[in-house]
Amino acid sequence: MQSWLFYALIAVLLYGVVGLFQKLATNRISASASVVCCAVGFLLPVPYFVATSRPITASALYLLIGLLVGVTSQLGSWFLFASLEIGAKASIAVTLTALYPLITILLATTFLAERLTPLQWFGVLLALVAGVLISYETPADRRT
Amino acid sequence: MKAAFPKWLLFSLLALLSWGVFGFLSKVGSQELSPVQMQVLFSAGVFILTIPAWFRSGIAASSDKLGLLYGTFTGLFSVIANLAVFAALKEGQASIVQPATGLYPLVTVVLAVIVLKERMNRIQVTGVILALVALWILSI
Repeated sequence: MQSWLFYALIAVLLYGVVGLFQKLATNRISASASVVCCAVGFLLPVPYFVATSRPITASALYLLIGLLVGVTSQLGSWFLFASLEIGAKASIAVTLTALYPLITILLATTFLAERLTPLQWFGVLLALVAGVLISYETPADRRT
Repeated sequence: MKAAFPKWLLFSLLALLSWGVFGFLSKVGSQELSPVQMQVLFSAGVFILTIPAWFRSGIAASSDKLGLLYGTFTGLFSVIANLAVFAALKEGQASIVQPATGLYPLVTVVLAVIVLKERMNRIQVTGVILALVALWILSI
C-alpha cells in the first residue's frame, strides 16, 4: 500500500469517530460550545508537540500558511454554522459544503500543477457523489 | 431590482470556499513542514478564530460535563487525524488525498448505526457503497 493511502485511511477512520463524538456532544451542548471544546482538544497536546518536535526552520511564509490552514478550517465551520443558524436546511447546506474537495482540486491543479489520470478523475467524481449521498438526511432521520 | 440570492446560500458557499482553500494550503504547507509542525500552527490558527466564540458560546454556563467532554474528544481525535492527513499530503497529491479523506462521514454514519442506533436511509446506504468503491479506485 502506498504510504499516503495508509495515512489517508487512518484519517478517514479517525474523522469518522470525530463525527460520532460531534453528534454525542451536540445532543447535549450547543454547536458553538462544541466548537470551542474542540479547539480546547486541539490545544491540549500542543505543549507536548512543541517540546518534542524540531524547531521550525522553514521561512516565515510557511508559518503564515500553517496558521492560515487553521484559520480557513475554522472559518469554514463558522460559515456553515452561520448558514444553518439563519435557516439553511441542513440537508442542503451540509451536502453542498461536502463538495469542498472540488475547490481544492481546482487550486491544486492550477497552482501546483497536479495531474490526475482519467481513472483517478473517475474515483474523485465517485467520492464526491458518495459524499453528497451520505450527507443526505431527511428530517425524519434526524433524531435530536 | 434586488437579487434574490439567499444569505444562507452565500454562507454555505463561503464555507465551501474556506474548506477548499484549507485543503489546498494544507498541501502547500506540508511540503515544507512536518505534520507535527503543521498541527501546532493549525491549532494556533484555530485558536485565533475561537476566542470570540468563547464568549458567545455560553460554554461557561453549560453544566453538561459529559457534553463538554465529548466536545473535547472531537478535538483530540481530530489532532491525530490531522497528523495523518498532513503525512498523507507529504507524499500524495492534494487532488486525491482531500477527496479520499473527505469520505470520513462513511465511518460516522456506520458508527451512528452501531452506537446511537440511528438508521441509514437508502440514499445513505448507496453513498456508503459508492464511497468504498471510490476509495478502492483512488488507491489503484
